[in-house]
Amino acid sequence: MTWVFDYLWLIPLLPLVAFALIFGITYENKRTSAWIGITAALAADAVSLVFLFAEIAQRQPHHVIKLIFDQFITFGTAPADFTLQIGVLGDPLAAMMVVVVCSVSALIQVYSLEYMRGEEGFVRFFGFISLFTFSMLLLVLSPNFFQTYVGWELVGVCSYLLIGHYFKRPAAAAAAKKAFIVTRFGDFAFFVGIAYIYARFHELDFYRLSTMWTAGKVSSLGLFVIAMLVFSGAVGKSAQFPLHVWLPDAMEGPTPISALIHAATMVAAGVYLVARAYNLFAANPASLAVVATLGAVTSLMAAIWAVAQDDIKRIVAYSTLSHLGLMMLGLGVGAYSAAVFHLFTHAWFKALLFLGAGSVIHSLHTQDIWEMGGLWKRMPVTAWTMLIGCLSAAGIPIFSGFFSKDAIVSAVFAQGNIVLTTMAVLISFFSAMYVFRLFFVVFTGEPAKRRAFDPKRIHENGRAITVPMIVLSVLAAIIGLAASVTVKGGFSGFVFYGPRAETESINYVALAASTGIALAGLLTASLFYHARFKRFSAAEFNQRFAPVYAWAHNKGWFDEIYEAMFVRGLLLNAGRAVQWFDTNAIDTFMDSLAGGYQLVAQRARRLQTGRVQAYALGLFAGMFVLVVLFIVFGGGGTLAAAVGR
Amino acid sequence: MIGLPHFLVVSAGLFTIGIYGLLSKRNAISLLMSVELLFNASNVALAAFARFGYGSVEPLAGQAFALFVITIAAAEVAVAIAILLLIYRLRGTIWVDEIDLLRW
Repeated sequence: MTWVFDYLWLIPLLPLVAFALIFGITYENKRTSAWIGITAALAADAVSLVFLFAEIAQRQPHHVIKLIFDQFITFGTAPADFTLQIGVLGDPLAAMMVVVVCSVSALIQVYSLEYMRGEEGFVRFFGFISLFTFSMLLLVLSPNFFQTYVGWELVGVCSYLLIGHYFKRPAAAAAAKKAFIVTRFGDFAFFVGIAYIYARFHELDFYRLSTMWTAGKVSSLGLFVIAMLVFSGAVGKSAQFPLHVWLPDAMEGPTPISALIHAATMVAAGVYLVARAYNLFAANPASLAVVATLGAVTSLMAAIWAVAQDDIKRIVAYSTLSHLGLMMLGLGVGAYSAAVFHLFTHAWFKALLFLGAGSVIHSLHTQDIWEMGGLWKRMPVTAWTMLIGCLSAAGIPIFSGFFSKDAIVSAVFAQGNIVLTTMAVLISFFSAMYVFRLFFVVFTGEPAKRRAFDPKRIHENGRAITVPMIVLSVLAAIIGLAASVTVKGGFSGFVFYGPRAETESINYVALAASTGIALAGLLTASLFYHARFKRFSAAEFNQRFAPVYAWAHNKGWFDEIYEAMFVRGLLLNAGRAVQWFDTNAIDTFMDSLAGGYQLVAQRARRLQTGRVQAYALGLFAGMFVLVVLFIVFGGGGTLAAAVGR
Repeated sequence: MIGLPHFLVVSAGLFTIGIYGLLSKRNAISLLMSVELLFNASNVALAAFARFGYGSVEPLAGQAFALFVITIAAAEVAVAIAILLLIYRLRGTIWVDEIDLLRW
């Protein structure tokens, strides 16, 4: 099956062609445009699957790089000078990721057929999804930092366009702007990091760089700085603390876009980048510690906040933050395979959770979980698929999330850092608790708030919505197990860093502990929120621990702090300073310059008398002066000689 | 023997008369005639230099230039008279000190 490596370029090209077709030709035709996008994603998915199986069939660690433009941009002329290259890279990590991106993109587009029906900008939506898919695939298949950065920025632009899909709504426009600007901080650092790498190593290729990090071209401090700059990019894109604030606001976009951003594109890019450049971090233990700490902090905070949210999409959004933090924690403690595995399994169950939330929103036209409740009977398919998604997200055994989450938690246990271990335990507990809080409140009992509409109108959605959810729920249920048994050595025998682990060592203590913690979280949620097993009042609890609840409910007041510090504090004062400089220094200078010209012009225009003879006089006077000068200085002798001849 | 200096004196005389006419006359037609004098002054000089030679310059170049000047002068006068006609229709005069449209 190695022939597939010659066709890897098809994977990003197909969505790009779809994007061009939709905006160029079929823009007026809604159905055709949507199906072009879906077909392209499915075709790319087919190539990706062959690619994945070809990679699984490879017994040895390997990578293939096929350059598409070997001299995309060239600096200088000598052959030794530097060229930026565009190409595709085939290795297990890329194979795993392209399958995720193409599959999720295809399923979400099918779902959007129904979900976005009759919405404004239907075709624009599908066109940008194709562009988004292309950007992410370009990034995933990138063999070097340059191409990664190109995809990176394209992903940012697409997320801006799609989060701001309802750009006539001020909140959506603001959220799109926020997502773009906040991630920009990280992107900028990433760009500086790439420039730094190039300045020191004269190389941007991931695989060629992997052996060069420790070759003594930079000090260990320099290496740490490079790692931190690259990681800053990942922090921005993967919404890690302190740049996490854009992700919950990104919920202003249509729900399928939230699913796409959270599962396959955009936020996955940050974790993917750290995994892709892992040898950089591995060469520098200090940077790994930073990655682990930041990941754990983000994960725990987001998990606690998720418990105190009322908006169904925001709960799932904080769940994403928490899981991304967990992946970073896994990468930080050296559990490379486990973290990448979690990236893989997370994509399925997170897409599922979002599509389920979208299905509920589509039916009820509200996002407040307290207005839902008792939907189990009325929306059975959504309820069942959501249940699988929640079980998977909580890390209950045999569901896919369990395998990866358990592997990360075990690795944190094995590393032995007591603080990180405690945090991992709490993360497991809360992440089980918030998903089941969501599940119990939405699907069991009765709505806590009066609904603003007739409950009989609530119904299960059409097939275009339920089929993608069913497909995803099957994947979310079995893919962890499937990946663990079909590949020799489990997932860690497929995507791994360093020597391959021949047999998976199972830490039964950690396994039992993480399962127990997840079940404890589930139980706590049911005691507080399940209609029948309710023993405690959540409202009373919230009242007793009001400060904690307020902190969690208001997401730690980060938006307010940033608003005060940067937007109102820094930006406003900087704006005032700039305004002062503008009015006093620049305007004054420009005004006096213009005034000076005006003054001179007032005088000089008197020369234009409009009388022909005045001009003629000036002309002849000038000629006379020239002739005199000619005679006096040099030329005259020649003239005299000529005349005298 | 009539040589180069004689021709140049004639040329300079024509040129001076042309300048005088250009600067002192009020009638635009007179101005055009004065300009013709300037052209012809230069034509005499060019032809004379060509006839009597000056350094290694190609002898016929002077005559050729003179022919060019005559052609261009004709064209220029045609344009100028057309303009003057229009000015006369608009303003009822061709006295140049009364025509000052292009003033500040």
